[in-house]
Amino acid sequence: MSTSIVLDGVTKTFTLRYHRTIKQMSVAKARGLETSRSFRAVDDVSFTVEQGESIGLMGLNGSGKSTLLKVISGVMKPDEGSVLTRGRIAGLIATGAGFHPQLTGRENLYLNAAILGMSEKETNRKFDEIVEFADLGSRLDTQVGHYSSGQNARLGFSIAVHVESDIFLADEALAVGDKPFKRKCLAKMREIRDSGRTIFYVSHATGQVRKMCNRVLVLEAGRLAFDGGVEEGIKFLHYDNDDEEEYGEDLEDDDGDFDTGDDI
Amino acid sequence: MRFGARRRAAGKHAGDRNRRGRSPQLPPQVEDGPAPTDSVQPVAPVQPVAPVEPERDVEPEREVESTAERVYPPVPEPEAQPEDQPERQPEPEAQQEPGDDEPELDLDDDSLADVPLSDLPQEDRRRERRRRREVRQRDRKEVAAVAAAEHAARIEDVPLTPPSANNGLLAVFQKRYLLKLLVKREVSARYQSSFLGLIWSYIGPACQFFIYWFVLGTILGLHKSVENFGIHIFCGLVVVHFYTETFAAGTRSIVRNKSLVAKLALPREMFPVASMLVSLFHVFPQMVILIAGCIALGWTPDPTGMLAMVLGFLIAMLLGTAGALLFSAANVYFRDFGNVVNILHMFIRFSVPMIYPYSIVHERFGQAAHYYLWNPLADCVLLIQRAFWVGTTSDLHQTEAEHLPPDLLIWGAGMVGLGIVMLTIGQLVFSKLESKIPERL
Repeated sequence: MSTSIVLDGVTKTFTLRYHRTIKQMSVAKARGLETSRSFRAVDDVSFTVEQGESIGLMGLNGSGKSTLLKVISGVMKPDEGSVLTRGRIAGLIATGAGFHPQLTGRENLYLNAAILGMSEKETNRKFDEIVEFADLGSRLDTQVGHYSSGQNARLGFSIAVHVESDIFLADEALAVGDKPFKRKCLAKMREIRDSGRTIFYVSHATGQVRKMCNRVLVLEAGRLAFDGGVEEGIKFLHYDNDDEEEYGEDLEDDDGDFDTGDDI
Repeated sequence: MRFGARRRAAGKHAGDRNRRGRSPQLPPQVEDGPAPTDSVQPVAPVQPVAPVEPERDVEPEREVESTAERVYPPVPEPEAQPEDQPERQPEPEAQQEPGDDEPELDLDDDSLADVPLSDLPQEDRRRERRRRREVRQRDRKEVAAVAAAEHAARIEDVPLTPPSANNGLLAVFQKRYLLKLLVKREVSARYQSSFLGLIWSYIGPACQFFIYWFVLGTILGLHKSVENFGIHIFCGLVVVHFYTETFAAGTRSIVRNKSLVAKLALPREMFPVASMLVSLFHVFPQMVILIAGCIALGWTPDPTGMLAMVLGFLIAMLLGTAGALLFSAANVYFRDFGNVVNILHMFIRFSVPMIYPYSIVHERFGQAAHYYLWNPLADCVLLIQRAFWVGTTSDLHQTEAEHLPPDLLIWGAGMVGLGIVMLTIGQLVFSKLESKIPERL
């Protein structure tokens, strides 16, 4: 077993600007108001992930989950500390980003695959698989601008999930799509997990986290507040209360298969 | 066993939470499908779906996958729980479900594999369904194990690296395939739903050409003093248009591709470079028109001229990309830079010897005229004129001596050097600003 992700004292500071134009700035300065303030979105976070672990990253809104994910994926550089990753990173971070509404699904598929780092050969090899998974039928050759939001998301998801990766990041990705599709997606993600790749999964859905993950990290106001088992993590967040029972229990469909485990 | 436990836990679908308390033998699902045929039987916990879905059960696994996409059945494989996953709801009674006492299944006994389940007697059907399910599960686990082993072997040699490693422009040219697709996207998307399509790329320059040609040539009488004044203008227009397009589109490129830049770790230099290549693409048809016009006026290519052309375009490319890099990053911080570019373009159009010949500059400024040549775009336009316009005039050498500065090629080479310096500066500034781009977008 080798390490897959190493974070050491990662801190990311954002600057909030209250005024943008020169007029607003000078007025604020004259009145002695502050024009900007900085805050730490991610504050001194350190942890190590072994190859093949599946991590659930949880926390309340604004606790820095997405920022941390961006730091790991390399979109943002940490202001302090270091991030090291092993292998290729892919994931459901920006599914469908870069789709051009005026191009057809097919053209967008190639483009998006390239954006996610696939080579032409890899795309050709996986093309049929992606199309089948997205299940767009004849709409593949029509403009993406005319797709429904669900179809758009399906195409994006399907491409993202077929990228060969060593680390798979997912940011509340399953908020879209109908139930059968979600189920298909989760099965696919489980396949990714079982094939020994590292998964980093951001979600509020305890059901999905229980199913997918074997370790939970909880962020609180940018700090790593909890690192440990799934049940304890969920308890730590008080996500296991009574209301939760009603939703959270309903994870398994009667068909004995995998359910989406959505909380909402 | 876990499936039985979980299934019973699922009360929500019935809309009645009391159901959770009922006897475990009752099949839980009644409302999601046709009345199950074996619903009165005590159900083995590992037994699959209660409602009969003939398509899924009668066909071998592989074909299920393909039909599956249309009908959207639930994913056929049962849940495989890794051991290390915590038990969520330990329900001891689940272990003693009657179904568990069924005789051992011989998983490799595929004598019934091709028989549709509906043709089997009920007892066999149940067993066969269970057998197929376990075979699937086993196969899936095997596949996963193989994949995991392969992956583990592959990942061994990969070093730990910072995820945001980025080599600027070099990385862009390593990702040529993506660059190609981005350029293609821009080119084909720009005029996708317009009737005239690509022709619009020429209407703009063509209008400009005719305005200059008429106002300056005919009204101000430059036709008389400059031979083939039309070609003279067009040479300048091609390269100036290319430069301004690169600069303007490049400046907007990062903000325009917000969704990608803010979420994916691509080399962000990609976008300004792609804008430059898109503009370059639009130069080709203009060049075709220019060359056709030149040939009609008796132009033949000469080596010095061709060298001048290459130098000219090189200057425009380098400077355009440098400007695009600088301004695209700056534009993220303050959108004001987009407006600055528009003002710059106004100056550019009149600071190059396009609508007036260089000889006029020389006449007016005398010795000071060589400061005019410190404007790289002026050299750029002069080089293109050397390549095309000079060849169309009646006396090549006289035109060159009269209307072009001496040592033009040396100026050109020097400006290419300046372009490289500018590009380096652009890259350095871009790298500096880049790290904050995602949060400022």
